[in-house]
Amino acid sequence: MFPTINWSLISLESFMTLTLVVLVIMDISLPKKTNRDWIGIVSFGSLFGLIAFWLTQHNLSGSTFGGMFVMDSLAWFFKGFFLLAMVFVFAMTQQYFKALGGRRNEFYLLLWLALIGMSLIASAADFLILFIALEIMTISLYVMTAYLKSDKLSLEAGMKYLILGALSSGFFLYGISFLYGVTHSTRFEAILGYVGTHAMNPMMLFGMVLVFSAVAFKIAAIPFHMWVPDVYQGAPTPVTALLSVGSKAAGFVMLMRLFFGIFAPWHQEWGLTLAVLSAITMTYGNLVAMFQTNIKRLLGYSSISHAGYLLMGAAAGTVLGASAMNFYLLGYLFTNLAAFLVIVLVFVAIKSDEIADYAGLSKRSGLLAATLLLALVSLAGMPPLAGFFGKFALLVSVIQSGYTWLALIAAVNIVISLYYYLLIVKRIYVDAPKVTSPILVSSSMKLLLSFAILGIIVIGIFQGPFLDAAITAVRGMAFGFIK
Amino acid sequence: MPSLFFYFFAATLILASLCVVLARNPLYNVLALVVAIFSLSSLFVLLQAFFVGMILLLVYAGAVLVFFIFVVMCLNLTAISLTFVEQRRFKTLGYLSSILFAFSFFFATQSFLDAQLFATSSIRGTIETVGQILFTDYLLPFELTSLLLLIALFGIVSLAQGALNTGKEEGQS
Repeated sequence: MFPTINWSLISLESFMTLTLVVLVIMDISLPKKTNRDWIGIVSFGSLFGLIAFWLTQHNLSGSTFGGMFVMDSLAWFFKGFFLLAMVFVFAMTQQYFKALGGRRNEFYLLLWLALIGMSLIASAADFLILFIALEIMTISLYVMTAYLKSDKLSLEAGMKYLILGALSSGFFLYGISFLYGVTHSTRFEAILGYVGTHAMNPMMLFGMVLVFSAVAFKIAAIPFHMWVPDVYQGAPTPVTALLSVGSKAAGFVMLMRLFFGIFAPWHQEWGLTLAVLSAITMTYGNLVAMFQTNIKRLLGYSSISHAGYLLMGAAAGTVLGASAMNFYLLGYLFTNLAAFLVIVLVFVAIKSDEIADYAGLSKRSGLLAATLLLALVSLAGMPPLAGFFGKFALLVSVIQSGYTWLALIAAVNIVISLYYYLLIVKRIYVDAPKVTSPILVSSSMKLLLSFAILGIIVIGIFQGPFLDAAITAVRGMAFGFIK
Repeated sequence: MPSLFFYFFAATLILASLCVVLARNPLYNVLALVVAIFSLSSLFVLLQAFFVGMILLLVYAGAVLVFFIFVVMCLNLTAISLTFVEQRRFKTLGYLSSILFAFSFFFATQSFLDAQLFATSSIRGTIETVGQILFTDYLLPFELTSLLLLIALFGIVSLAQGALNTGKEEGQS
């Protein structure tokens, strides 16, 4: 009666949960007045331990819990992605709250919970697990967004995110109920079995659209992008970084599981819709980003446009499209987190996120300015950086699938995005600084910044191994169904 | 005999639901809702879905509606008076939603009668079977909800404790 459980498949999440429990006990039992940030230190250590453990899970595949939880190459790829992103986010959190003061222990714990939620999303093979994992991630993000209680913007952002997020969860559940009603199962395997043998029908279409709308909310695609600018601006910067990389990547894992997995046999039906959404999303994001004065808000709009670029891969619906998405996300991780790390370090020093206050940053800290320059240029997609090859692969994938018009729109968008990214570069390098005092960066942060720069450059120049990893992740996907 | 009970509870349900809509005093509305939920859960019990009936009674009548009553009593809502225009707007909305509801109800019953989906269902809605499924087939989702409770705990602790010094003063926000 009791199902046999293969614990080795779920061991990474088990260790994460174990770490969380240890941290909770530490939080309760440690004396209140310690200067050392013990929770942060232990978190960092555990993260590196988990990354080492993750490397050993390379060839693990299979499913357990009656097929609800699956471990495959795609899950493996994204679990590593989330762990790596968390290294940056924990570092940002540590810097950010050192400057602000106040309690940050709960913040660390919530970050761990968000990490557990994200890795569960990568491994979910059942809509029930997917929903609960999604809520674990999102609800911890709600709390973290509103964490700065005396800051009105943060509270407003938390409230907005909560209400719109609850709405999208409602859509998601409603969609699942339709899919369940037709296929009599919430397992991906069973739904794929149905989709593979039946033609599209209105009930399934309704379910698909509703489920996609929840995914679109997570990746910030139009028309579910309304929350992005306010939440990105108001949330504490480490949360913004996590939203723009972790939460977005989690959304894209869901998208891949759905549209390269269970709905793939119906690619004819939804391909064009995704292509149109992709075109609208990237154009809107880029056009509105031009007029922003707050750098977090600007990166919010830019993240909308990047969701548009990434949707191209989904619209293509081929192995190349999916691998291009994985590769792009990998480059985006280093690029965007480098930018946010600089924003945190600058905020810690000058307590401002306005682009006007970035004037003459190059004269105040060469490293910060250089990192931001590389990150912005890579986001815009200039060779030989990580962003260039990712965009190139996405464009090739859509042209191969016959959406040449989409590739043209994307190319125009890349030019538009260059304009506002380079405007910031001009501020940093050409404009005269208002204050000339240098901004000091601790040596550990210098190390992390260099690591990010290294990532941006290495992924851009030696694409081979990373592209291989991205393709392997797609090829070994459980319930994959792509040509 | 069971059909007698069915008609009794069904009639109570309809009467109580009408009371919910028609009563002027908010307190009566909520109390009528309690009666409605009670008769609804009795209907579930008659269908041998004991678990659903129990949960309905515990969660709705027990917890949610008591909160409602608290809120209604705290807010002192007896003095509500809507202006004519507002009332008319609500009326149109009401007609619109009842037409929509009637349509969807009609189609739902139609497809329900066609589907024969539930005729062969072998699921017995007792607490025992629900518990058994929860701890075997649905073990992972059930355990994962504990993490959601943990988040709720952290959320309350971090959002309810004293204000955090953000370093941003009034002028900069």
